[in-house]
Amino acid sequence: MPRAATEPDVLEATGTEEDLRLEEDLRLGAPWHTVVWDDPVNLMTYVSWVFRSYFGYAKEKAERLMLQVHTEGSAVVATGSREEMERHVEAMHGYGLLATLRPAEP
Amino acid sequence: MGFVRTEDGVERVFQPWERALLADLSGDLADLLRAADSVPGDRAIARLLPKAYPDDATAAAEFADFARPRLTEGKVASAEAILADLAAPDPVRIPHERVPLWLRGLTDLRLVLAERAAERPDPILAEVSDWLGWVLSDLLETIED
Repeated sequence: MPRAATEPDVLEATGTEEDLRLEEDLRLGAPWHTVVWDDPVNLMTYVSWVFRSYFGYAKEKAERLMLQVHTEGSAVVATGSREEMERHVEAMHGYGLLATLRPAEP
Repeated sequence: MGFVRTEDGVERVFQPWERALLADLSGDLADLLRAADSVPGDRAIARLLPKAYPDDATAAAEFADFARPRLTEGKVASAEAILADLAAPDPVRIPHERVPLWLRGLTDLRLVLAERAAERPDPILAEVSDWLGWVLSDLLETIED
């Protein structure tokens, strides 16, 4: 996707953490992921329920994601704007799950 | 012995010791959450309010600034919902819309106990943890379609 014509190249030149994030945000539609991490306390049935209840995922999808968290250590449970993903991460924390967000791979 | 479905939710008969235990734990949890800012190193609070950005301290701090008060308020609400429902005589009735509060509250209690047990292993904590897990499991099964 082309960058905006007026976007200054100074963003790349400075390259601080904050500037890199700003650059990411300026790239329209740059997707982020919500990642849920395995933890030793939460019940599998509970994690599935959270995915069905909050995301509205069908039972099969919720189970698949839960099993992925359980066997692989983590799973991407949603993709979208950074703002959306922050909302989902906060919601997951509300349910007692470990969750983080990160930029989606290009 | 456990939860049963009713027309508008679930209900459960609590033994006096179960009632007392769950009420104590829920009350303690609400107190801990309300005092969260005054116990900065508390690992139970850290587990209830984890980092959103593992590799970016600035972003993590910004996230915490806006999310933490809301999360804390929500978790206090769950703990207080359990307390409020337990104040009723048997059988304790939980309408559908309050079930998520119980599920979240029970989960938060389990998380706190796990952190406390990690600091100082205690067979009583372990038993209470197991019991909470069983109650949570039972509630999840009961609401299952």
